[in-house]
Amino acid sequence: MMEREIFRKILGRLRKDELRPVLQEWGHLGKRLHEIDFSHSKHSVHSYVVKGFMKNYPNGHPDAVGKLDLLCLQKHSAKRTWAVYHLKKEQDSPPNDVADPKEFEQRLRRELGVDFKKMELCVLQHEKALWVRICISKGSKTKPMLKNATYCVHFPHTPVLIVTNMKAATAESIKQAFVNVLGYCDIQDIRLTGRCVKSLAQLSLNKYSQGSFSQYRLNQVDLQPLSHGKKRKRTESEESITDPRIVFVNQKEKKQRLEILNDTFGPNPQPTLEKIEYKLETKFHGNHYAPGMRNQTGPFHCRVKFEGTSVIEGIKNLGKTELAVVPLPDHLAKVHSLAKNHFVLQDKSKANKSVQDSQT
Amino acid sequence: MAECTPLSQITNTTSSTGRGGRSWTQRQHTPYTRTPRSRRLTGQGKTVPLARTPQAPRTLSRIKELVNKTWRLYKVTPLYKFDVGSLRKYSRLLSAHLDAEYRKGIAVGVESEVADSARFSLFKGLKGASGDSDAIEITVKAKPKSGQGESKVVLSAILCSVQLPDDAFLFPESFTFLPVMMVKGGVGLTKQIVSWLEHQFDCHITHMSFSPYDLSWMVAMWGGCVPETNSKPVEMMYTVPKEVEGLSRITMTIDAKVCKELWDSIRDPTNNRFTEEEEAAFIKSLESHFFYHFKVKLTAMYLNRVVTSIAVVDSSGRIKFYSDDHVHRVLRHITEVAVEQIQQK
Repeated sequence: MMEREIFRKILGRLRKDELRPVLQEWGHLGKRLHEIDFSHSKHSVHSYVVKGFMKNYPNGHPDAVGKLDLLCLQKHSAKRTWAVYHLKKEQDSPPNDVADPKEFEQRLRRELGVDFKKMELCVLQHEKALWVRICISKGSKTKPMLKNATYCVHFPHTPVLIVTNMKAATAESIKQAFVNVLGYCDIQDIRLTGRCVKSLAQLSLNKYSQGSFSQYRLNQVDLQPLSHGKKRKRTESEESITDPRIVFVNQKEKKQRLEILNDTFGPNPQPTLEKIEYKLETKFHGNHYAPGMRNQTGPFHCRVKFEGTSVIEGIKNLGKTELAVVPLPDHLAKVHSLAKNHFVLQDKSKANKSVQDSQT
Repeated sequence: MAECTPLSQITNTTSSTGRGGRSWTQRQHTPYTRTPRSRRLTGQGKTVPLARTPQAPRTLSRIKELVNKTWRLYKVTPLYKFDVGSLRKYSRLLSAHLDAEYRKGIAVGVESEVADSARFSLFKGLKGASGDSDAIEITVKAKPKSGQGESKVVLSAILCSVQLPDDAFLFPESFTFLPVMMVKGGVGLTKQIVSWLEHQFDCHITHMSFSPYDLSWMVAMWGGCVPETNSKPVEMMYTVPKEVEGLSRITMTIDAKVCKELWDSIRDPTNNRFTEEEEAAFIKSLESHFFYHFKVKLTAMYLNRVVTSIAVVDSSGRIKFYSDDHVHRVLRHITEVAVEQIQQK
């Protein structure tokens, strides 16, 4: 039976220690959950789960698959790449935000039901955000396929929507549905992608309090510095070498560099981004080594990609280890406050000014 | 197998020509060789073919089979007593060896196929000059374990030498020098074949790896080769040193057309060889363009992978050809690098 296969596939994505809490939250097993012995092999535990579900709901349950899939995704959201969309509204239009998952689901079902006759929809609340799973079947008779499910995360009362696995065929309808349900007038892709939903939310929601301003947001700044006396400063030296004959000549430059880096990036851990891409359309600037290129007027098209586990942290470390010259240029150092990771660098000229104005 | 090690035979009989005037004996005492000041870019060019001489028919060459596949590169020291006439004998011996290995249980157990037969054959079309030996192809076929179905090619290896540089070894007749081996197949099977070749022909086969300097030479030389169809942007991928936590690689991709403009502006079109100055100019100009925009010193990173319109090469010795017209050019350079790396030992 198709349902069994689908259940097995979804359960297979979970680790052994995650099975019990997820199944508890799922709730469709009821009392049978306590009958399952989780010390057996994964394969047999999955069989027990499927059997238990079939006994509870011999005719199946429409939302069971969707809810289980969404719960699994919440545990393993880093396996997918997410893209951030920004909802735009006209000025002075009344807010139509919704914070209740049930109401959100009702509204979405009404909107999407206009275009699609057969779909699975599931909305859950998880850590102050509404997680939505939309699975649309192509024909009216075929069942929705697991791999076609689109997942969205919406933070109530904010114009931010984080989406993954949106298929081209249904993208426009889904985007329009969200715009209508939440009372906005347009939706825009702000070119911010990544794997960590929390970081993406941080970058888009806290755009103006990143870097050194994050100290204020996280209450790390002492608001009354004069109310207590100064503590005796203990000079920290990173070098643990205590031989007095060794003299570090560049301590001053090092300290200056670290100060500048701290000012730009702040002392708190940076939000994780996996990739930053730049499209360069400026004139060629290597003319010192290639004098023949001095007469070229056209742009030198090239693309640069920085990749890693946490690229913003990496760029800060590049400055720390002197592999980059500090102060770093703004488009590299201020990525935490720019809320995007695909950039286009162009020469400043009158022709480009109109392009830049239209993009902001 | 041999009475005396072939390598010592070679060193005794070489003349004292070396690149840039250094003698062979001098090279032996220093651990480093001097990096070449210039490299051949296009063909030998010494003999211009007359208008009437018929060109070798292209249909015989099987170069198209090399394109669009990822090959692993190995460097091979000269083979002792390799006879092109006894290819059938070698096929039989290798098949027997593979069979024996499988029965011994040494063979990789997870393979679903049993290596069945090995065949040595001549690979036409890869000879660069008359001084080169013919290229040899080794194909290993296997039947699926279930016993049904046709046997398919499990591993394909090609030993070749394309336009050996003039001042390479001079060695006696009993040696065949095919310094480059390209292999496409499983790791376990490759190991068995390598050990058999080493045992049979008293040679030494090792992985070929490219230093960032080698890769920068390659991208500088081939960055300007843009075929009309299917041109790819030139890409250089750098890995970041481990001290920088969080960032693992930086990739710079340059549009094929502008890269060719840069290449043409650096190049001296009258000279057939690509000089060190031109290579330095190419790489340094790109790195300084990068530095202007990002203030990041690319010179301190390790160049790991290089993509051009005609080939993609990475530092672990994997290569993939994109254009069959330029396979010769790429293999000629690989042969040169392989000979240099062998000489270093």
